[in-house]
Amino acid sequence: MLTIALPKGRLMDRVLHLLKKAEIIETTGYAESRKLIIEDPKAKLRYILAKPTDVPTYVEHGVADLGIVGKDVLRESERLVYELLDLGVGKCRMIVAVSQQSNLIQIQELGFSAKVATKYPNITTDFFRSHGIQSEIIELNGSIEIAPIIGLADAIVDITETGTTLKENGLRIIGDVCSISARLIANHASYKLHYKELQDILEKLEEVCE
Amino acid sequence: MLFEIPTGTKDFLPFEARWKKEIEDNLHQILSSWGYQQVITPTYEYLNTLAQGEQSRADYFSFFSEDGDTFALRNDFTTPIARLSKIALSQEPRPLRLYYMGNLFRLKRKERKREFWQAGAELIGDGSKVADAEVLALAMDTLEKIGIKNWSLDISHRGIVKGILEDSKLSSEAKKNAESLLIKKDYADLKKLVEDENSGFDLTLLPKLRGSGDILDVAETKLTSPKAKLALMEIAKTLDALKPYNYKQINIDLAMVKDFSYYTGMFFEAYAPGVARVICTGGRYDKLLSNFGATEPAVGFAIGIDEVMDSLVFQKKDTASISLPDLGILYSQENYEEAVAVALKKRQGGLNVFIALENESVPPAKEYIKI
Repeated sequence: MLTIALPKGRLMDRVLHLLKKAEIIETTGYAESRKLIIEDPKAKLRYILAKPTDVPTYVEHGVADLGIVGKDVLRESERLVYELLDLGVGKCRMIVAVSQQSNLIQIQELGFSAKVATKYPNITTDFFRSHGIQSEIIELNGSIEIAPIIGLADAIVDITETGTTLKENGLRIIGDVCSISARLIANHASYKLHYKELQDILEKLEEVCE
Repeated sequence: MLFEIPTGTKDFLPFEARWKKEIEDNLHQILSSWGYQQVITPTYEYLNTLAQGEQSRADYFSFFSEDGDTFALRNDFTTPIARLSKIALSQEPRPLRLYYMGNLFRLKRKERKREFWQAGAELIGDGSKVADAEVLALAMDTLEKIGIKNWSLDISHRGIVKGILEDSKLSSEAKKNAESLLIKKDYADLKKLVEDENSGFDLTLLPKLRGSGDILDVAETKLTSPKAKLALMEIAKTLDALKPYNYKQINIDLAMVKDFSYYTGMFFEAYAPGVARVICTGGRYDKLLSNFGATEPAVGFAIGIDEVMDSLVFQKKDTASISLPDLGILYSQENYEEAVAVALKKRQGGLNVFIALENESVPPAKEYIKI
């Protein structure tokens, strides 16, 4: 039996539809379930419904053989897992934004020791370092958009699908960090020990992701 | 005040310590039975010695000598053994067959042991495929005899990925990126990189080149890099030399990459149920010894003792059991001398014996006698 960790929240519906399309699950009803572990004995699969940030942890430690998680969470976690497939759903961008009132046009103008608010301190540190910008990271857990408005930070690093929320909160994009989508990840040992079962799932998903 | 032990360390309590020793006794037996001789190297060395090994393992507990030199706790056994084979054992006839067992220390191990235990073997001064096969077979014999079930072992060759990269027109930065994408098996981004650079298309074929021996024929027809094809022939020769040992469980995984390792030729990795990371790994390293003297070929492997224990626990086999002393001798104040004499005699007879004053709290034993 293989165990797959699925991310609750933003990605859940899209991931379940994809799994159904690939004929790996029969129903997308898991989203409404209050259960945290769901067994599908017929398919010899077991699902753990996890907080997205915990998905790479479960997979690295091998309590889940496979996992599905956004590239943003994955990169931030710095966990040692294999990234087997870009599922192409949950597409968005990770961006740098400043207040509409700010006269900054590009990230280079952020200058010395810019304050940046984000949910992604590791990615943000790497990004600014690779652009030669000293930044002071302020880690937040939600409502990142208000940080520049209330004067907590000069800029934010966050993900956005359409940019609407940013605009509504008086923010303007000045730089791109990376593009994001959901990834299929695997535990190192499971990849070798359950190679056949794992390839079977991988191939089914590859077909619907083309 | 509570005296804690540092993160990443572990106490082995009596039942675990006994079980660990049984596993280690077993490993001594297995490794010796192939004609390997144990060496014991210092727990700490000059940092400069250890730094001749893998750059990616630049991860040490380090400290200063009274003269201001930097010492470091050993973080690998292969490098100290390369040193001693070129210095203390430089005049010994080749090949050298050496094995080791002991603790290693690495500082930056998130959620893992910073002090951990390893055993392994090095075959030094033999560059042949017969030597490759011997070390592979020894690694598999070790997995079997130590009681690991359903392990999986994959072989590749440094020249596959290195050869494809060298034969491609990828920029040096793209080559580095491609290698780190292969380490993560991030095939989505790898494909994109190759398409963007319009070179190195062999890399995108590697993910599907995993399987039993016939994968080599498939790879031979699909890969275009001449250097990678040479590496394929090397793997085939190693497998040929391995045939008489009769192992059926071997796979080839051409997409396998070892992070900045010192391996120069064939290398392998084994996994076992119940362990989320590699349990046993090894390969050929023909350049490492030249850091300490004349160039000499070498091949070796290591097995993680902590990982072996994890896998056996998962299999629920031979795990920790409490072994009580055979005999407790209970005495009263006036019989103390006699109790000591009887205990000595019983010990000479091969029993594990302690003495205890009657009426006080008496530790557990299989049997007691009263004096």
